[in-house]
Amino acid sequence: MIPTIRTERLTLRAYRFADFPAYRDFLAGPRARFMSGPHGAETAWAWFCNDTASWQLFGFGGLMIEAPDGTLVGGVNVTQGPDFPEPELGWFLFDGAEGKGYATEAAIALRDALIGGLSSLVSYIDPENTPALRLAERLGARPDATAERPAGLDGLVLRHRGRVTA
Amino acid sequence: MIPVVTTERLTLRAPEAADFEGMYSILGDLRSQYMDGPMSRADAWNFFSREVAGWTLHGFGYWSITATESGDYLGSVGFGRHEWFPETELGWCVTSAAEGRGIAREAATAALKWGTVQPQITSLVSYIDPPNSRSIRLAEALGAVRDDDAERPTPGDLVYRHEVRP
Repeated sequence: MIPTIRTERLTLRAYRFADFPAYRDFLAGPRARFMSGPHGAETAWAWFCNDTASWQLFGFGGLMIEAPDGTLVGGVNVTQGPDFPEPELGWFLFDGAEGKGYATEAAIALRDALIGGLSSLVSYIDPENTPALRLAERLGARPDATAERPAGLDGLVLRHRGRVTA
Repeated sequence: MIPVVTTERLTLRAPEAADFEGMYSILGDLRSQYMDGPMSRADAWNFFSREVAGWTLHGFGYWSITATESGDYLGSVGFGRHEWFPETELGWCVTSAAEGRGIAREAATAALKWGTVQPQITSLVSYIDPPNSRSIRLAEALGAVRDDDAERPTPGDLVYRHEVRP
C-alpha cells in the first residue's frame, strides 16, 4: 500500500495518471539538468512508472508533493534502479515552488518514514548542484568518498543517517 | 489492493521483484520479437515496471502467472493503459517452458473475466503484430473481433476488440 504522508504544510501521496504531464514537462525542461536531463517523454514515462511500481516491488518509491492549496509542486522518492548499489533519496520541485523549504520538508518526511526499513540510503548529487547539496546537509547527510557508485555516474555520494537496519 | 485470481492450474498474483528474472528470460529472448523485443535488461525492467505501475495509476495492471502447485513463474497477463495507448489493452506473455500447454489461454481467460466487469475498464483491445499468429489465435479464442477502424499505437498493429460490461 502506498502511504500518504502529511507534513506541516504538505501532502505526499501516490502518483496518479493525471500527474504525468507535469512530471514529463519538468523532465523535458532545463531544471532537469541535474537529473541527467533534459529527457524525452519515453524516458519520463519509464521513470514515472518505476517510481510508482517500486512501492509494490521494494516497499519504497515516489510520492508527489502537494502544497497546502492542493497544487502539485514536485516529487520526492526513494528508488533503486536495477543496477544501482543502494537505495537513493531524490526530490524535484516544479517551477515556482523553490525557496519555500518544500523539498527539505518533503525529503525529511520520506526519509524518516522509510529509513528504518532500508539497509542504507544515499543521494547522488552533482557537485555543481548547490541547492541539493545544501538540502542534503540539512538532512544530516555526509559525503562518502568510498561509496560504490552506479556505472557512469560521476558526482558526489551523500550518505543519509538514521535508524538503518543491520 | 492487487487481487489474486486462481484457475485450474494457475495463480495470478501481484508481481514481486524476484519475478523480474523470469520476465527478462522472456523479453531478452528472440521469442519476444512481437513485443518490441529482444530487450536489454534496462528496457525489460522498464517494461516490467509499466505492468506493475498500472495497478496504482489505473486500478488495473498485470499479474505474474504462477503454477499453483510449484509456485514457478510462468509469465505475465493483465491490463495496460500506457501513456501512448488509445485504449486499455489486455496483454500476455509466457516463458518458453510454459508455451504449448494452454497456459496463456487459461491465464488470459481468467484475466478477461476479471477485467470485463471492472468499471475502470470501459473498452478493451489487444494490439498484435500481424505475423504473431499464435497471439491472433488466442485473441480469437477469447472471443475478440478484429477492428480495423480502431486507433492503434503502432501503425502496423492489428487491433482485436474484447467485449466489456463495466
